[in-house]
Amino acid sequence: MTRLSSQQRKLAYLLAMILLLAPIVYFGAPGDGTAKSGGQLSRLRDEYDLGETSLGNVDPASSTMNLVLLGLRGIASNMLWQQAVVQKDKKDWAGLKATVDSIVLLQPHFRQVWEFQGWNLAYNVSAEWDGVVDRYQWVKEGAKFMMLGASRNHKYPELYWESGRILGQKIGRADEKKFFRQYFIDDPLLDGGGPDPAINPDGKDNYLAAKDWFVIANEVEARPGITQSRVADVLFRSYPVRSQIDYADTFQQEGKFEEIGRIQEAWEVAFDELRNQWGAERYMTPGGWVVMEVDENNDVLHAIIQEEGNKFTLYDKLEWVDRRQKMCNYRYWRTRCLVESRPEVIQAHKDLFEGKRAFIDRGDIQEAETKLMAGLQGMERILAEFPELELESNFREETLKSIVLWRGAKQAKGEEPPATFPLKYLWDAYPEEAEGYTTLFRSLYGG
Amino acid sequence: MSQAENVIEIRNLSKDYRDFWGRKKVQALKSLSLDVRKGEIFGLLGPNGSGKTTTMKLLLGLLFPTTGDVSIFGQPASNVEKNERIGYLPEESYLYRFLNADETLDFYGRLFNMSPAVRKQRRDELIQQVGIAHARKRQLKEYSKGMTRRIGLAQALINDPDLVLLDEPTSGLDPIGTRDMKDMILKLREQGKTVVMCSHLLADVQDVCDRIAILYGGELKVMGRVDDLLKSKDQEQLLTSPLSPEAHKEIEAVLKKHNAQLLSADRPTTTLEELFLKTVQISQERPGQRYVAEEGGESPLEQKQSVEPSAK
Amino acid sequence: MSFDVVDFNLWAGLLHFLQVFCGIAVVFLVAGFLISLIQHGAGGVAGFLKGLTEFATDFARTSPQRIWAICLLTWKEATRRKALYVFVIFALLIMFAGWFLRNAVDRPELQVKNYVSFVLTIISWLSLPVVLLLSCWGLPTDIKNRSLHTVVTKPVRKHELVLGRFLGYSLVGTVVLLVMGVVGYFWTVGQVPEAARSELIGRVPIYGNMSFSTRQGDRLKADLGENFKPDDMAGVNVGDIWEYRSYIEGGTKSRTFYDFKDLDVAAMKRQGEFRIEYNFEAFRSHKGEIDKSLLCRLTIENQQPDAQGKKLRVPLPIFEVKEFSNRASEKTIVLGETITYNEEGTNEIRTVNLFDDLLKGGNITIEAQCLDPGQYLGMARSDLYLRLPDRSFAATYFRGVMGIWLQMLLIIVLGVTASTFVKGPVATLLTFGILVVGGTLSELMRALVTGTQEGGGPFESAYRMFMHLNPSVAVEAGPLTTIMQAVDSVAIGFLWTVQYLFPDFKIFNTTPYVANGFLVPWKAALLPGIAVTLAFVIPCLLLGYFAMKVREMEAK
Repeated sequence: MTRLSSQQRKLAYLLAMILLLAPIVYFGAPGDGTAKSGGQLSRLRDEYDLGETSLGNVDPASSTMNLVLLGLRGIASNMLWQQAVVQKDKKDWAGLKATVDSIVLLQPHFRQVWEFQGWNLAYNVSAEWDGVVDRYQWVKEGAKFMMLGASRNHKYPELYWESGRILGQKIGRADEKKFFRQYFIDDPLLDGGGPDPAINPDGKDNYLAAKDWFVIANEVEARPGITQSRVADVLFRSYPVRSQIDYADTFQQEGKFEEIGRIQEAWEVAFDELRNQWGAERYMTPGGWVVMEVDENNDVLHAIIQEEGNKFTLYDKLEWVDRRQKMCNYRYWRTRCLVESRPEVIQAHKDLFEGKRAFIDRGDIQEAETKLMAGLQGMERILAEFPELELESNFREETLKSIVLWRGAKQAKGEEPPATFPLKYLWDAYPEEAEGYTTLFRSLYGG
Repeated sequence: MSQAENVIEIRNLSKDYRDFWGRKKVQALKSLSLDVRKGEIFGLLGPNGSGKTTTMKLLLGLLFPTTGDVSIFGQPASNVEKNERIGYLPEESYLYRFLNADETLDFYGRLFNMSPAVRKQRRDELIQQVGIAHARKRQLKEYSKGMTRRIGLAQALINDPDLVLLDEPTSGLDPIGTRDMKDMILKLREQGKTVVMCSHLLADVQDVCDRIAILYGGELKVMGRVDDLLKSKDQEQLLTSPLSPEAHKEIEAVLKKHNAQLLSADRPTTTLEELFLKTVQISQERPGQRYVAEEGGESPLEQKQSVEPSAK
Repeated sequence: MSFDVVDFNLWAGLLHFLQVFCGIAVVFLVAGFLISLIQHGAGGVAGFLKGLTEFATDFARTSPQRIWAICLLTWKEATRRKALYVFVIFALLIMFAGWFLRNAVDRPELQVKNYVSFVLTIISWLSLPVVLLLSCWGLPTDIKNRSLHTVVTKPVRKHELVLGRFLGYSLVGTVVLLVMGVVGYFWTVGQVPEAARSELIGRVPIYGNMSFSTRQGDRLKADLGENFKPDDMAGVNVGDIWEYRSYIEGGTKSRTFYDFKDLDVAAMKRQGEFRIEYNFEAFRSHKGEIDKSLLCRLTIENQQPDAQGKKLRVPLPIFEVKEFSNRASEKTIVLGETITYNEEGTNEIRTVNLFDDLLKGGNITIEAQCLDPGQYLGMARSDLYLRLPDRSFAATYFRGVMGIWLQMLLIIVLGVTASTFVKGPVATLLTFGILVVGGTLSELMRALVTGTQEGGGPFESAYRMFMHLNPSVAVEAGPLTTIMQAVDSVAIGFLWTVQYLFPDFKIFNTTPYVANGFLVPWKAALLPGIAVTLAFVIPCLLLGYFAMKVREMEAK
């Protein structure tokens, strides 16, 4: 055995340490976030998208928690989940939110946790509260939660999609939509009002804000290796344009005709996006790739057939195009957008709306009758051109209710409702609905 | 000697160690009977595992006897009251290592319900006496073995006890420490205290003990005054200053003249060691033989009748 | 707020304790006598009596100084063995807690609850394990190191040893808790957002007895007595999973009655105001007016009839129910000295003096009514209370800390006692087991013992599991069932015997009071805590004494 002095031994250890460190540095050096940086492992992680950073933003608190729990996070999050259920049952809302926040610290990349709890906050908890502002606050909590989930998980299109759904559907279609939509632009919970920058940084209409999220969801879904598992592709892709339609439709229903140009533009944008984005997108079917927007000469389909090496016939393609179109009611939406963007249609809507307001708000029977009649005549002309609109319930509801009002106005003047009137064939074709609206009218205004 | 002067009386004391299931594992002590008289230093000798420490612990009530009785100051060993008059130095110094010397003595002083003034006085006295004044503020975990024994002795004496039980008092001490310890033990006798010590270091025992008992395998083999036990009846020993070869020859001649024979002319050996080894050897050859006290004093083993082990 | 506040009946508890205690004592005495008789034959009787005498003299000669010495020793042991490092962890957690708690909910007043619960939970989660480990390992370590040899060979009584340890660890625990409590207090006050600081209060509520009326207005089981039972509630069940609140229908004569007895009107008069706070929950059966909360009216009725035999009834102004609000000011109705109101029926405007007329005699009933037809208001007994002048947040917070302290004492007592007869690891497991069983399973245990738990005992439940039988389905009668149930009844009987050996640790949890801004009540929360702790101290001390007495101090 060679005898080394103490100093020599220390030097030898130092050398050994450096030698051992070399492979650690070679393999394990952390990357700086850019591609091809860091050690071998970091590069491989980058190459195969395995790193946590590639999933989304990392919360330092979350990493700390996982470290502290030493692999027990599954059990811990399970216990927290149970606690959250109890807290919800016992209506400890603040506790529930805190627990849910802890769960996502433990499971930041578990999609269902985000989906379930975000939904839970925005829909279930919100509904438990009695005050509208309180409810809105919980919708916001849910939306923020979902958005946070999306920011932590760049590879789940569902989370972007759900964020859009809360902003669009929850805010726009709830019973409290009148208040919620308004709060979305002018938040009563904020000092000084205005939109909440956390969910509406640009101060947009809720449907347009939702549309932005749906667009991102589509972009994420389009990336290679990423799929979503919520709805069929054609439907998933429809959400941005459907949001645009909702925006235009709601604007119109709320009677904001002073901004008539905006309504028209909204419908035009919708029509354009429908044909050139949603409709032009390729979808996989058993009959190969198809698009929903098909020109008369089927040029696009021919091109696809050629690309695919004539595996399918044009007949096959057309059949699958038809099936996809039916699946998402494509042709109806196309017609609707086309029709609604026309000035005379907007005018008809405007007449009907103003007639209704005159009757209900001011009791101005004369004006109501005139406006309603003008509107109905306008509608009759449109329906003559696009008979398939008859099948659309919103359209029908608007027209039938207007007829009821018009008849009511006649009655109020002491006149018998005339036997014939515009759109009488529609009235006769849907007797149950006509009857229902009449009863509703009587219960509200007598007569 | 009258019974009243016996500080400790042990009668037919046996101790079995049992395992978890209550089965007998080992018989550590077999039917031991002995007395310790007031004012003497009594030594318990024996090889490791002979039952010395067991006896000590039975005396203190740390262990409960399987059969037999122990009485100290006329009270049973289980009685807490007797502890007022006892001091005990355990085999290793099992003191609280996180306390310093002052705190240690203060703690044990409190256990005797001493007033603060008395505690302080005793503490200072004892620390001086055992010679650790320089280290009184250091935690015991920093103490050397010798210092630990010293503070151990100090705590045993905190209550100025009448009876001091010392378990291996000199183990691990250097020669000077051993000397100091022995001096302190002898001083205790001068103060009129009774001391019981057990040890396997024969020289120590020989130096300080008045009476000893030798235990082997849980049995009492030999008991008596150290002087008596070491007095050989068929040998005489002369102790001289070193002699020249001529002188040796002359002495041999003188002996011849008196019909005696020179058996050895070495320097004297530690004779207790001899006795001890002999006892152990005999015990191994003839197991079951046991010391039984007879009227008229005590003598070494080989002159006594043997008691066969009881059938067990 | 979601807890029912029930006053603790000290005398009933004490009686119960004495019964259990004496029962166990008798069992132990008889067992001790028999064992002594078997071991020593006829001499056993004398031995047994001697044991009892020794016990009596040992306790009679208890020396406070010796106990204090051991207490101090324990303190030094704990501090010098760096047990107080727990403070470091506490400091770290407190420092980074903000990360986890900040902005959990956008509403600061809901946040208060999270902060307070967090602090109190962290304090107990850090301090309790420390004292548990300390108390379970102290004596066994002493025995193992044989340090105890030097102690028990001094005139120390065994119970002094146990008691000294109790006190010593309590001292350590108290210091740990005090430091944490004070730091936690300032942390909480500092962390709570400015806007919600007004919610850091200690409300002092007076609860009444609740009863309901039918839709026609007939009062159900009008019970003003002490024997109020929750079963007397007979509101509408709206199908909520949580059966805490019972509902009354709006637009009908359904009412809830809260009876208050023997109010200290003079004291209230000195305060100059009378406050009522509610916590009702709204349940809508139809949308109604979405942007308006449900309307409610309270009517105060004095229970002392006037000369004509009429009781004074004062309807208070109608208000919108602020559901789930944590803002005390939003839900409190403040009445001044004079009240002007519309007489019921005649609608005549009248004025009365609050203290001299309306509260005269101190017995009043407050009726609550929902005014929206078809909608429901849910209420529980503790959902309406008279709010006396608030105490400070510090008052309730430190009472909450005291709850943890009591729990800590109990754990120390159990841990030290366990360590007198088993080794450290076993004592730790045993104490921890008692903590878990007492903290989480005591309700289940009571339910099993009283038979309210469906599904039967162990054998029956096992049988049900194998046969895929729903717990609510009766098991077919037959010999097998009879045997099964007989065996089960033995198991249940055993459970019945041991159920009181596990303290119900839930009663020490006063966090909900503090977190919701209520003063931790003396009679409903602290008193039972003190009672339970004391109830375990005495038997544990005796058990520890005997365990130390009969064991040999030799480490194996």
